[in-house]
Amino acid sequence: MPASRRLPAAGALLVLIGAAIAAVPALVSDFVLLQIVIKSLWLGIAGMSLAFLIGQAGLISLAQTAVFGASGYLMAILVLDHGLTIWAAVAAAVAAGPVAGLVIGAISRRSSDLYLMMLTLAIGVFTFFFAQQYQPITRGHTGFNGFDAPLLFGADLSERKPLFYVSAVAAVAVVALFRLVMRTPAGLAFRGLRDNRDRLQALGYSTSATTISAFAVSGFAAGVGGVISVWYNGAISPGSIDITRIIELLIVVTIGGTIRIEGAFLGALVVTLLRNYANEYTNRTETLVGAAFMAIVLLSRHGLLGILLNVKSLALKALRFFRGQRMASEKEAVA
Amino acid sequence: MKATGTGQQTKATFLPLRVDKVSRSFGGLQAVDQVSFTLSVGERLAILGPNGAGKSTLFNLVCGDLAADSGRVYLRGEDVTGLPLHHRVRRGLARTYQTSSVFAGLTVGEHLMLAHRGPEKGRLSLWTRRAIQSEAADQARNLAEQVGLGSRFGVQGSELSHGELRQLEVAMALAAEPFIILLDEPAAGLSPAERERLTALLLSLQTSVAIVLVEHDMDVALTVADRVIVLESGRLIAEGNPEEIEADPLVRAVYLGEQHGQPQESAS
Repeated sequence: MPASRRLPAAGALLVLIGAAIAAVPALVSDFVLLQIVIKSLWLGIAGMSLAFLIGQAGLISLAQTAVFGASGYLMAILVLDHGLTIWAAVAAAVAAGPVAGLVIGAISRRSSDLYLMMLTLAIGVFTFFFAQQYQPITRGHTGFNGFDAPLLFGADLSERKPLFYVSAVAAVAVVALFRLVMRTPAGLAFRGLRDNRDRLQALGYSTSATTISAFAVSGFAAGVGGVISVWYNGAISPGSIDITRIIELLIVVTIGGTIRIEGAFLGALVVTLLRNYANEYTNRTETLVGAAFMAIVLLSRHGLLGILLNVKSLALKALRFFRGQRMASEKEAVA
Repeated sequence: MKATGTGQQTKATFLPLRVDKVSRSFGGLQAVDQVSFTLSVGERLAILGPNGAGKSTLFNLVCGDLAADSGRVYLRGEDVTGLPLHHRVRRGLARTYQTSSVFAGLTVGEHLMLAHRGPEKGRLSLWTRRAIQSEAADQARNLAEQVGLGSRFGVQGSELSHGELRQLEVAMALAAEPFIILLDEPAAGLSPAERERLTALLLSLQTSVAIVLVEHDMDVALTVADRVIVLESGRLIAEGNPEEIEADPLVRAVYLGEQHGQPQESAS
């Protein structure tokens, strides 16, 4: 399709998304906005870094919390311990995401499958212990508290609505960026890596370089998620990146589905909803999260998004079928 | 096409491929033993031999999937003996696989674009101009037409039939615009009609591309090849044009006699 015809469509989509974002605060309560919507947004952004790695490059990484933590911690350290201005720290923290991804990618560039999982798990767990034990830099197990979210054009991001708008715009921006990357030569190479490593190499690509690039790109989302989470919580501690968070990201991505990167938001929403409302009915919230996880894994290979896409394609088929029948009967009537 | 350092003129004076006394053993088995041969510009060379003669090992030594114990491999005069496959591909070599090896989730078009960019510097670029992108797509479409996959351009690798996968293998090799293509049993498992189409495709290729062909099917091999080398137990036992090879009593004894069974068929 020529660019000229594509632009208005993209513009219309942006306007639609903008209107939807603008409407959300009016439609939901303050509690839902803060506890469900904003939380799902930053958890979804972080989850998208993993959804991208798995769905696009076939790399199952358990080290995305390490990237998330690197960005979050860096921002907190720069502001609270070094007195850097907040936006400079934010810029450094966002840039730290791809850099941390690059480092993790470089370490694990020759691994795949189970070995990649074990290696990245080691990196994720190492980062947790580093945060917990290296007091001079990380303040040990208490981490950083009392972090004030910045002001943006006079709006205080520690307030719900401004934080929501910024998170939503960040989510859209990260999705758009990933979608752009997926259309570049690197994006195609990532999918080649996912489907057939050896063959990719035989076409002249270095699988190491491809792996490192994929980790670097995905690190961007984990970094942005880490930054917003610190604004949201006003704090970051080793608990933000411990093994349960590693598993949480995996659950988010599995429930959502990796067939599209946006599935991470769906997964994040489900997990956040269960965490918040399940305890009204049971005190076994984690059991319920686990059960939901298992049910979706058993029902669909591509998570909730896979189920939704299946329903959509079934609906389209049914629509076409009925339209075909109607046209056939109209033809008969004419004849 | 890629020219490094001294430029096209000097490159052209070098042979596309020179294999000098390469050997490779696996444990006690000498799979390839001091084999030497050369390939000139645009030449079509078939490597024949009975099962276990060392054809595939020799093939993998040339493309870099296997490291040689001794001997050297030169591409356009450059010693590439120590280079792995993907570095040889960047220098203008392309290979296909005996068992089709494609990307299940990529369309035919994406396969060809991926293969086309393989030897280029921008293969992992995070930025492309739209014009370049659409030019690459056009090229891929033309190539798909050329190998008979035009109508399957948007179909994913996992949906292709065996015959189509074989065509895609050849198309991917061509997409990289190599100066030498190594084909590993391209006719394996094809129906007679598909085999005929493949032969026609190989015959229609530009003469600037040199081809090395390992092929079990004698008809395909002898139709396509200008020159044949025959291996037995890792050693080169005969070399010549297809007619000479067919007439060679030694070759008939070790290969045609055993494998083909019907000499009148191969003589036709």
